[in-house]
Parts: sequence; structure tokens; C-alpha cells
Amino acid sequence: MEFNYILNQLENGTEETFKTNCLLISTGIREGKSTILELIESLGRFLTDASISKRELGISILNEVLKSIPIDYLSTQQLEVLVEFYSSKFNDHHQIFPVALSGTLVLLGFENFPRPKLSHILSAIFQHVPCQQQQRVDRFTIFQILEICIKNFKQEVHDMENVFVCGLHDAVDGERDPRNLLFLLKWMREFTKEFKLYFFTEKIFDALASYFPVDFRTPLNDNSITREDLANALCPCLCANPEFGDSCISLALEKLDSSLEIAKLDSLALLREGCSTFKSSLYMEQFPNIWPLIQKEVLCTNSPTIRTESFLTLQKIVSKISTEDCLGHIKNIIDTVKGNLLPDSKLFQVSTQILICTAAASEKSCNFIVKEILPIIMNIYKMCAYVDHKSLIVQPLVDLMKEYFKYNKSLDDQEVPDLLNVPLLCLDLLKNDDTLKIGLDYITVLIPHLDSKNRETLYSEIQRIMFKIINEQTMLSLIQLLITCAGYYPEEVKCKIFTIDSQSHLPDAFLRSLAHLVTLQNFKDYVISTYLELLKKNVQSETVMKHLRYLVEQQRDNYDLLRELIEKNVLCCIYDSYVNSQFFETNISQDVYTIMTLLVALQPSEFQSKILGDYFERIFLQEMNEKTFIILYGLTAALRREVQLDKRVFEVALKISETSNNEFLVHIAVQLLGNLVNKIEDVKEFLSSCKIITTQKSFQRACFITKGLILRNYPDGYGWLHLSVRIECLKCLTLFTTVYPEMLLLPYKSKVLKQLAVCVDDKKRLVRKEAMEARAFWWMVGENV
Amino acid sequence: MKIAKTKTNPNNIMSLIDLDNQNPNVYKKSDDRTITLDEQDDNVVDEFDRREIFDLIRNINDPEHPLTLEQLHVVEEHLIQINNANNNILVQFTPTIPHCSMATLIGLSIRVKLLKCLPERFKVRVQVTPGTHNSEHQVNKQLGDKERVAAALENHHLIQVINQCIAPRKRA
Repeated sequence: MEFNYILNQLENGTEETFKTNCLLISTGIREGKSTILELIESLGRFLTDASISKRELGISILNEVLKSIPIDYLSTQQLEVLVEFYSSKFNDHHQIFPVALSGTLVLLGFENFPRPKLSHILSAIFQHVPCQQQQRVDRFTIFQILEICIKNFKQEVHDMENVFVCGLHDAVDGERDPRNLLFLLKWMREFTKEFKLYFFTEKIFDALASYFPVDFRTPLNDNSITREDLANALCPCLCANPEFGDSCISLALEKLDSSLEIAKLDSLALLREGCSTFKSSLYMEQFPNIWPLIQKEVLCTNSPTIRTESFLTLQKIVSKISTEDCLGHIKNIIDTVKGNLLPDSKLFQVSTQILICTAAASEKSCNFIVKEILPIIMNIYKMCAYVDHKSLIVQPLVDLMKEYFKYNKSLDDQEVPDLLNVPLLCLDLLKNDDTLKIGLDYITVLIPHLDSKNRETLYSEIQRIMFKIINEQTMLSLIQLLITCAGYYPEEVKCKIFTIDSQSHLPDAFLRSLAHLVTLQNFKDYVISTYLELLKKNVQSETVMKHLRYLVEQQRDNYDLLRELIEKNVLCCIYDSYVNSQFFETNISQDVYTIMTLLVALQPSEFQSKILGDYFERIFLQEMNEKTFIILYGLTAALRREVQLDKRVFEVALKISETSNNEFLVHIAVQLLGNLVNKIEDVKEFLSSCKIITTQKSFQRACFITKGLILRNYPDGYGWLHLSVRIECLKCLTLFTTVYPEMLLLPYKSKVLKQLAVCVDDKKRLVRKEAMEARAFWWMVGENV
Repeated sequence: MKIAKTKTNPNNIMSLIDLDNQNPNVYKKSDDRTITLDEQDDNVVDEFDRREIFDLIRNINDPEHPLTLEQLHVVEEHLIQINNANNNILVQFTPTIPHCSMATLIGLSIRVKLLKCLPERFKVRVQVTPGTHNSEHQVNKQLGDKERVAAALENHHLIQVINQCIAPRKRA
């Protein structure tokens, strides 16, 4: 292979030809036309040239060739020579360093790299290349080399002992570029964790600690690296080695004491992160220093983030020291906040939060705090005279109980007799209207642990509350309580609460909670029969319909339940009750058709046909009125395609859509029409019967029919985009410009104008007029007038 | 920029220059177009006609007076010619006085309004009614030159004045 010719070209060539020519050489070597040895021999005159730039060129040609040779191509022997060569280059002029470094990086990638030679080349770099005096890119290359050594040459790095650690420290210390730093921090953690640091432990920690807390603002035009990226990478490095423990915690505490918010947040994060590597004895020892600082943050800060983070940290640390004899420290916490535990104290809430968060840390801390704090809170409650204070006191109690139940099953504890009184306090809250909702919420937490006596009291309270008029929030709490209660004690709830004599007027809360209980096996039959009975008797049927609708909507996919409802004749009961009711009201009508639609929708087509057969005769037997039409709609709105429909349905819907004065009915009728058009076989005949003059009502109808046609992909569908539909749409577009702020309109301006350019050439003048008007308004969006 | 003769702050245009015609004749507005049965039938095609063009421009505001071009008889229906087959439209307008310095601005407003509202297929020409303006030829030449119109529309101040003239009125 004629190297000299190519090399001459390379010497005088441009950047573009450089790569192609190098590739030419490496292809030659790969194909066996020449060897790497021949290349080096030919390169000789460059490599030994007196001019630095010639030598630089020679090495970069070699680098480029090596890059494109397969990584398993060169033998260990060949590589040994190359390593020797590159090592000697670090003795050369400093201008050679960059190319020598990138060459080293390429060499490290070869499979047969001579492992014993690693220390040789690394020592050369450490000795001759002052990393922090190099350009950013070259520093990056050095860091890449170090990373590869740490990841792929573990044993060799170990064997180099403190030489490597020292070299690494010198290379890394003082790095200022965020990109390099982020890269470096990514593998520093592994390094500090896995390798012995000899007497450099402190030095390496100091090198890292100098960045803490990370104070870096991302330049505006650069969104690559953020402060958080760096902070998140630094934190694990500082905690990676257990030997960092002492210095790390001192560092965190020192920065936590500063006034800078990010310093505080980073310090808290560092304290938490440390829990995973440092010894618990260290935290035990440092706790007297940690607690006052965290306490200060929690009690004094204005920032909710710092407060939450402080709580998290406290919890994590308490959980860490719980393996040791930590009760003294927890006692310390209790003693600090005990004085604040008066409901009119400003710090009452924060103090209770501290206690609860400490209790949440571990079983040990939880039981200890319950034992210490419960009697105190009980005492305060007894002395408390105001109702709103009482609920304030019970809240931490219940939160504490939540933690307590994570580790304990019963309230029966010899050491803390007061535990048994907690439910009584909650029941007490139920007696007062102002604290009713809170009481219900609290007792819901305690339900699994109530003894039978307390439950008796609770049931009678619930029965009493059901007959009261309560607001929506309280009602929801009551229902939640009932659901939880019924889950734990189904039989009891059934015989103790849902026993109200059905002759009497049933409270709303009673009927409403039934709809929620239907999924519980023991309650299903009871719920269905109660509802049906009321519908049959036509008592409170409006309320029942409302709740039945909720039930059906919640269970819309529960085929078995819906089928059971139909088989138990729910449709018939609704029919009778609705038709016999005195007035025609929109709400009830909506309930009725929603229930019917959902019940019918999931059934198979034969069954749907059967239902229709049963009811159509009854419906068409008498004269059609609003109510029968609503029922007709409910039955037919969600049929399967195969179900054949009586022609009379169209006729009725068409007639109502034209003649009725009730907007609601017309709306239902046109929806039904659109729905039918989507499904029926013979659309043509149907369309011919309803394509008539433009009126306000028929506009609405046209919309739904068009929707139906387009959804079924009917060929003439778009022809139904009626004159009036187009006009209304354009009017609507115009209206947008007057009601919405320009900021929202601007993104659509060009799109709208483009579309309107088509509309202004509509065949109808009335449409054009609106389109031109709309266009005039849209042109002005964002214009200065 | 020849078209923008008065380089003034458009917001103060009235106060800065003397009104050319302080006391123009004001005419009655024509009634709204009545909607025919044919227009309501979606199967009949409506051709563009001169009334339709007139309706577009009659509400343009005069730059000097709080009146519309229709009220000043600057534009009149019979001065509009339209040829649907050839996509040609000719609008002639009559300045209120022969030396009206606003003539170009009015012509430009009409052109911009039609440009924004009409389909692209139409070629629109806007001219001064023959014999109604001293520099009729010059104005027509300016309004007929596509390049000059385009250049005028790049002028920030000018487009603001035109926008004020052609801004659509919000319906009650």
C-alpha cells in the first residue's frame, strides 16, 4: 500500500479530506494490505519532525486510524508498543498533550489492552499533564480516561494504590466547568465507594465539599444543565464512603445554619442521603446537634418546602437511630415541644406535627410517643371548654392513632390505659353540629379497632344523624363512615343501622348510602329490594331515582348487577312510578332515561329486542306524551346495531322535534333522531321525510342528523352540513374574537384565516357574509388598532 | 414612500392636520339587504353581485370624519362593476372634494378591506371616479401598483390608520 502518497495528501490536505484519507488507511490495514507497523514506519518522518505541528499531525493521523480499526484487531503485543509510544508522548511539548490524550482514550478501548501497562501510562499522565491547566475538552478527555480505568480496570487501579488516588485528586480538584463536573460526579460516587482512599480521604472529601451547596445558575440560552442536576449528583458522592460520615454531617449542619434557602434544602437532603451509608451510631452521637437545627427550621421557617423537607429528614433520622437506644433523644424532642401543646398556642399545630412525624419513623418511637403524649393530650381535652378547640385537639390524636395502628392491633394496652378513651372523644364530637364532620372523619379511622360497646354507641349516633339535615361535606363523611363500617361489620351494620321501618319516611342519607353499599355482597339484595319497594309504592320515588341513577352510573360495567336489576323488574317499576308522577320535571326525566339507557346498553341484542317488545306495546297503546317519550328515548338510546326498530319511533321523534315547545324535549328528540340515523338500514327514506325548511328547531336537528350520518360514514353526510349549520359555525367563530382574550386566539389566527379563505367563496351569499365578517374580525386579532 | 404623504402619529391624525373638507354633505344610509327565498335554499348557487361588494365597503370609516364612506357618498353601489365569469371587480370611489389629500388613503382602505374579505380568485381594481379629483391619474396609478400597495402595507403607521378605518363593528 502506498502510504507516502496518502500521507503527502494528508499533510497538505484540508479538514474534509483528513477523515476520508485516514479511513482509507485503516481500511487498508483491516483488509490486510498493510500493517500498523508499516504505517508507523511511514509516519516516522512526521513523528520525529522538529516542528511541533508536524508531530501533532502525525499523532492525530494515528489516532484517527486507530479509531476506525475494530477493537479486537490489534494484538496485545502491538498494543504494548503503542502504549509505550503514547506514554513517551507525555514527555513531549505541551501542545502534543491533547492528541496524546485522545489517543490514550482510544487505546483503552481495545480488547487486548495490555493491562500491566496501565499504571505506566497513567503515571505518565499524572506526572506530566497538569489537568486543571488544560482546555475544557482535554480535561474532559482525562476524566473519560479515569472513568474507564475505574469501570474496566478495577484490579489495576487497586494495585496502583495511592498513586492513582493522588493523581485523581489532583486532576479533579478545582474543576470549574459544569459539564465536566456533572460527568465527573457521576462516577466519583462509585470511586469513593469502592476504592480505598488511603490518606486522601479527607482531601477527596474536601475537593467535593467545596461545591456544597451547589450555587450555579443555568445561563438563559442554555437549558442543558441545571443546579438541581449538579446538586443531585453531588449529594450521593458526599455520602458514598462511610469514612466521610463525620465531616459530611458537620458540613450539612454548618450549611443548614446559613440563611440561604438552597443551602438549607441541600443540607437536609444530605442528612437524609447519609442515612443510607453512615452508621447509626454516628447519627446517635450527632443528634443533640441535629435536633435543635431542625427544630429551628420547622418552627421558624416561612417556606412550606423547607418545613416539609425538615419533617422528612427528622423522620428519616429518627428511623435511623431507632436501632440504637434512642429513647433519650425522643424524650428530648417531646420535652422541647410539650410546652406548645395548648390549643391556643401559635405553635400547637407545628408541634403536634413534629410529634406525629417522629412517631411515624419507627415502632419504637411511635409507642414511646403514644405513651408519653396521650395522657397529656387527654388532660388538655378535659380542661378544654371551647368546641372548636376540642376538634383541634382530637386531630393530632387521631393522626397519632393512624401511626399507632401500623404497629399495634388493639387499643388495649396495659401501659397506656388512656388509649381506650380515644374513641369516646371522637364519639363526643358527633354530639355537636359544629364538630360533626370532623368527628365522622376521625371515627372512620378508628373503626377497625372499636370495641362492641363503642360500636353500639356509634350505631345509635349514626341513626340519629341520618335524620338530621346536614351539609354536603358532612354527608360525604357520613357515607364514607358507613361504607367503612359495613366493610368491617356487615351483619351488625345491616341489623343495627339499616333497620328503619320502611313504612316511615326514609332519610336521604339512608337511601344515598345504599347506592354505595350495593357492591358489598351482604347488602346487594337488601339495596335492590329497598329501592324496588319504594318505587312500587311510589313513595319518595324521586329520591330513589336520583340514587338509583348514581348506582347504575357507578356500576355501568357490572353486567351481572345490571342484568339482575332488569330481571327484578326495575324497568317496569321506574316506568310505572314515572308515568304516574304528577309533574313533568327535567331532573327526574334525566334520571329516568339515564338509568334506562345504562341498564339496556350492556345487554345482548336478543335481550334488548325482548325488552323493546315488552314495553313498546304499552307505550304505543296510549297517546304519546312527554313522559312516555322520555321512556322511549331511554329504551332506544343505546341499542345494539342488530336490534330492529319500530318505524313509529322515528315518527314520534320527528313530530316532537318539530312541534314541541319544550326545549328539553326537542333536544332529546333530535338526539334520538341523530342516533337512529346512525343505525337504521334505510336512511334514504328517512332523510327524505325530514329534509325541510330552515327553522331554529330544525337547525338543532340538522346538527344531530349530520353527526349521525358522518359517524356512520354515509356518502351524503357532508351534504347535510346545512346552510344554517355553516352560518352558525361562522357566527360562533366571530363571537370567539369578542369573548376570548387575544392571547388565546393568536395561536389559531393563521389556521382560521386560511380556512375562512375557503368559506368566503361559499355558494351561498348568507354564508359568505358571515365568513367575511368572521374574517374581518380574525384579521384584527393581534393587530394594533 | 409616496402613499404615506402625512407621516404623523396616527392617533393624533385629526388634531395635527387641518381637515380638508370641514363640512361634508352627509347622506342617508341604505337599508339592509332583504333576504330572498332563493338565498335560503341551500341548493341554489348565489353569484357575487355589486350589492354584496358594496355591503363590504360601505361601513369603512372616513379617516377624517366619524362617518362611513356610504354616508359621505364616497362609495356608491352603482359605481361598482363585477364580472363573476372573469373574476374581475372594479370599484370607483368619489372623494368629497377634488383636492382631498385623503384620496389615496381611502382607496387603500377599500383595497385592503376587499383583499382581506374576498376570495383570492378575484382581481380587484380601485379607482377614483373619473373627473372627481385633481390628481386622479396619480392616485389611480398608486392604487393600481401592486408593489406600492404591498410596500405601503409594510408601513407600521400606515397600516394602523387603515386598520382604524376598516375595523369591523361589534354587533350588539
